[in-house]
Amino acid sequence: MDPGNLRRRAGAFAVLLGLGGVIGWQLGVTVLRSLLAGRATMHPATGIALILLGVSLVLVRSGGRSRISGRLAAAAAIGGGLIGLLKLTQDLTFWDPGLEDLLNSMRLTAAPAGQLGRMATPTAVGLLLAGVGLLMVGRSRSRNIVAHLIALAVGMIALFALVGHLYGASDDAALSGLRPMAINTALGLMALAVGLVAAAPEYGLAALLASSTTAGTMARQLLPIVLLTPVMLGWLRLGGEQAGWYGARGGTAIMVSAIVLVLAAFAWRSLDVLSRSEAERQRIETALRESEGRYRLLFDVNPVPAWVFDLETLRFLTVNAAAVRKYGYTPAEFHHLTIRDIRPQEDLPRLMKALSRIGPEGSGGGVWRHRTRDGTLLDVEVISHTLTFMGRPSQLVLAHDVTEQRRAEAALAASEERFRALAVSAKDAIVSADQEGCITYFNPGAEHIFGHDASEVTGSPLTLLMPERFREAHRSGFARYLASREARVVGHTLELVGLRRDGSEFPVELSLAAWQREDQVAFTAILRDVSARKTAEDALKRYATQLEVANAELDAFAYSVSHDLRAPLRSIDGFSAALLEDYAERLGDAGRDHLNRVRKASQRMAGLIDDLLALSRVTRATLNRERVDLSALALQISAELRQRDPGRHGEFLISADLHSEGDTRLLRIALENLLGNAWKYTARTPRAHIEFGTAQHNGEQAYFVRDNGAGFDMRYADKLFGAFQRLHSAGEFEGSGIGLATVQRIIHRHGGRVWAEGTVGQGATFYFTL
Amino acid sequence: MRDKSILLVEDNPDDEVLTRRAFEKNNVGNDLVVVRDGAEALDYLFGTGDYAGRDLSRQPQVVLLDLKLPKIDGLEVLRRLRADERTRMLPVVILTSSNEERDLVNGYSLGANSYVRKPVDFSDFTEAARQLGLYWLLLNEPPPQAVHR
Repeated sequence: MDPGNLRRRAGAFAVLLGLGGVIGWQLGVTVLRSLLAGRATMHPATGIALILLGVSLVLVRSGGRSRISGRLAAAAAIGGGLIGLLKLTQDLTFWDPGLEDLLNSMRLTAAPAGQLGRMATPTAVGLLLAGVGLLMVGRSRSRNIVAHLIALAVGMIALFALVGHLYGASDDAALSGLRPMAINTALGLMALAVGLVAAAPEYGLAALLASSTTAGTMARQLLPIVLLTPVMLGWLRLGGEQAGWYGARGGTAIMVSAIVLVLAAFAWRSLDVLSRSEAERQRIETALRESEGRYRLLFDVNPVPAWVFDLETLRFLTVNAAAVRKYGYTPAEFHHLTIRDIRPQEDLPRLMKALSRIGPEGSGGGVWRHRTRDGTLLDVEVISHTLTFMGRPSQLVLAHDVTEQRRAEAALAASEERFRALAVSAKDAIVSADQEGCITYFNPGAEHIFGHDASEVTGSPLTLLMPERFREAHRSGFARYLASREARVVGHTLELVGLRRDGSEFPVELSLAAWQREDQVAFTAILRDVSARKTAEDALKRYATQLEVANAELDAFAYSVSHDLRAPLRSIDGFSAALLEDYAERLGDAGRDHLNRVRKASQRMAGLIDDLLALSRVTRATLNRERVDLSALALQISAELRQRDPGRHGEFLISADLHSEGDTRLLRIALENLLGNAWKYTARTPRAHIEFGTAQHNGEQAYFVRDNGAGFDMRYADKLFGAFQRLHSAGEFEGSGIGLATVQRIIHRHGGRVWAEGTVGQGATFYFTL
Repeated sequence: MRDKSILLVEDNPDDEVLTRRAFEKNNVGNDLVVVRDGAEALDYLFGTGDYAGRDLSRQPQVVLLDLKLPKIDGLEVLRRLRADERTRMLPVVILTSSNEERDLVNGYSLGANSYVRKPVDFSDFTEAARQLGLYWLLLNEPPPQAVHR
C-alpha cells in the first residue's frame, strides 16, 4: 500500500474513533465511548486529541503543496499534544487544569464531570508523544528518525493497552493502580503510530517495509507474525489456564515453548530466504564481473587500435594495446594527449567540424590521417560511437589502419592509369581477350589499324581480326594452349596476316602475352601493321641484289684491268728499252730522251693503275672488325718509312695505347697513306716532326696525324680527298692523288669521318674518327 | 739426262719477245720453249695433240705459266698438272700481270711453286728473269727423275 494512503487512512481512522468517543459522551451512547460494554471508556479530551492528531496526520505531508495545510497540521499536532501534556501534568501534580469543566462548558459532553473519569496516564503520554512526533515529521533525516522512535513508543503503549484488554489485565492486581486505557483510545493511538511511521516512508522501518527488496518482503511477512504470535499464544494460555487445563507455571512453559517453536520456524525460513538471496546476489555479482572482464578484454586485446576519449576535453580516457603498438605512445603518454595531438595540423579544422556534428547518439566514421609518435602519417578508417565512460560523455573509437591498402590501391590506380595512357596513345593495336577468345579491350590504335570501333567488337571473337583461312588454326592453337599451357605463340613475336573491316588483308607483327587471373587466363596482343616495313624490306632486298650485281661487275672489271691494261704498258716500256739498248747511237740524244719519256710515262701509268686497283680493292674487300692496336701499326709504318729513306732525319711522336675496333688490313692502308704523306711532305722541312695521337672534337674522340711540312691552302681542302686530285705538282712532290681518296674510303667504310686542317708552309693535320 | 729447259706459256707475242730477250740477256734463252695457250701447254707436257710422241722424259726444268690464256686458262692448266701423277711435282711459276689477291690465293692453293708479277719497267723485268733463271735452272734441285717416267 502506498505510504501516503496508509497515513491518510490511519489519520482518518483516528479521527473516526475520536469522534466516536466525543459523540458517545454527547449523546450518551456508551458503546461509542468504550467499544465493548463494561470496559474503560474514552475520555472526551482524548477523543478531541485523537481528532486533532488524526487531522494533523492527514495534513502533515501535504505541507509541501500548501503552507496553510502545513501550518494547520502543526497547529493540530500542538493542540493534540497539549491535551496530553495537560493531562499528564494533572496526573503528576494533581493540579487540575479544569479540562472537564471546559468540555462541559463547551457542551461537548452531556455527562457530569464526575462521570467522565480520568484520562489514563499512558493515554496522556501517548497523545503527547504523537503530537511531538507529528511536529518532527518531514523536516530532516534525524527528526524523521526521532519521529519513528516516537511512533514506536506510541505503538508500544497502544499495544500494551490492547493486550491488557485482551487478557483482562484490569483485573490484575499489579496493574490495578493504573487507570486502564479505553480500547478505542488504544486503537486510535495504534493508528497514529502506524500513520506516523508511514508519514516518513523514506526512513527506517517504513523504508524497509515499503522496499521491494527481499528484506522488505520478509519484513512485511514477519511483522504481523512477530506481533500476533505472542499475543495469540498468550491469550490461548490464559484461556487454558482459566479453563483449569494447567496451572500458571505449566501454562507459561507451554506458551514459551510454542513461541520459541513458531518464531524459530519463521526465523529459519527467513534465514533460508536470506541465504538464497545472498547466493543469488553473489552469482550475479560474479557473472557481472566476468562479463565486464570479457568486454574489457575484447577492448584490450582487440587487434584494431581503439580508445575512448572525453568529448569535452578531447583527452584520451583509455587506449588498448593495439593503439599503443600502432601509435608508439605509452598508455601514460596517451592520457596526457588529446585526439588533436595525433593528427596533422592541417586536418584540425575538419576534425573540429566533425566533432561538432556528433549528436547524443553519435555513431561516426570516415577515413582520417593520424600521426604516430615518430611522425609517420597513417591513413585510418575510423568507426566511433558515443557512450558514457567513467561518468563522462565520451566517444569510443576504432581506428583501422588502411595505409597499406590505400597505397596498394593508389599503386594499382597508377598502374592502370599508366597502362591506359600507354594503350590509348600507342600507334600499335593493343587487343585483350578472355579465356573464351572474346575481345575485352580494343585500343584506339587497334581501331585505326583494323577499322573497327571498340564498342562494336568488344565481346566478339578474336577470329574477326584474321582472314577466314587462318581461323581454324587459331581456334585449335587457342584450345591447345588452354589445355596444356604450352606456349607456341605466347611470348614470341610472329608475323601474321590481319583482316581489316573492309575485308582487305595486311601483314601484322604480333607479340602475345598471357596471364593468369584467379582461375581465368587472359591474353593481350600487341599488333603492328608492318605493310610499310614489308615494302621497305622488299625494296632493300632489291637494292642489295642490285648492289651485289654491281659489285660483281666492278670486280670483273677490276680483274680485267689488272690483267689487260698492264700488258700494253709492258710492251711500250720493254720495246722502248730494247730500242735504247740496240739503237742507242742512231737515235741520238733527242731520240733517247724521247724514249726515256715514253718509258717513264708508261711506268707512271702502271703506278696509277695499281693505285686505282688498290682503291677498288678497299671498296670491295669485306670488313673484318676486330680490336686494332693503332699505336703499334703506326710504329711499324714509321719504322718502314725510315728504312726506305735511311738518310732522312725526322721525328715520329706516336701516342701509346691507341686502340680501336676495325679492319686491321684496311686501317693499316689508311695509316700508311697518312703517315706516308706526312713523311713525304716533310722531306724539305729541316726538323721534320710527325705526330699521331687523339684529340676531342665536338665531344667525340678523333685520331690525328700532324706534320710540320709543306701544308696546304685551306681553300682547296675540299679537293684533298678526291681521286686523282693533287694540290702539289709532280715536280714538287710525287704522287697519284689516290692515297687520300683511299683513306677517305676506308674511314667511311668504318662509319667514321675524315677531315684536314692546314696552312701553306706550316704543315697539315689529318683527323679521322672510327 | 735432264733437259735444262724452261716452258713459257704465254699468248702475248710482245711478252714472249720481251721475256725471251730478258732471258737471253742472262744467257738462259737457248732453253726457252714457248707455247701459246693452255691447251698447247697440256699437249706439250702430256705428249698429246701436236706433241704426240714427244719424249716425255725430257720435261722442262720449270714452267712459267701466265694466268690469262685463251682456251684453257692458267689456273686450269695448273689444276690438271697437279692432278696427273707425271706432272704432280713439276715446278710451276705463275708469271702474270695481275697481283689480285684471289689469283695469288688460287695459284698457291692449286700447288704453284712461286708467283711472280711481271713488272712494267723492263729493267725490273730483266732483273726478275735473271733471278728466275738463276734460281730454277741452277740453284733449285728438281724433284727426282722417276716422277717424269
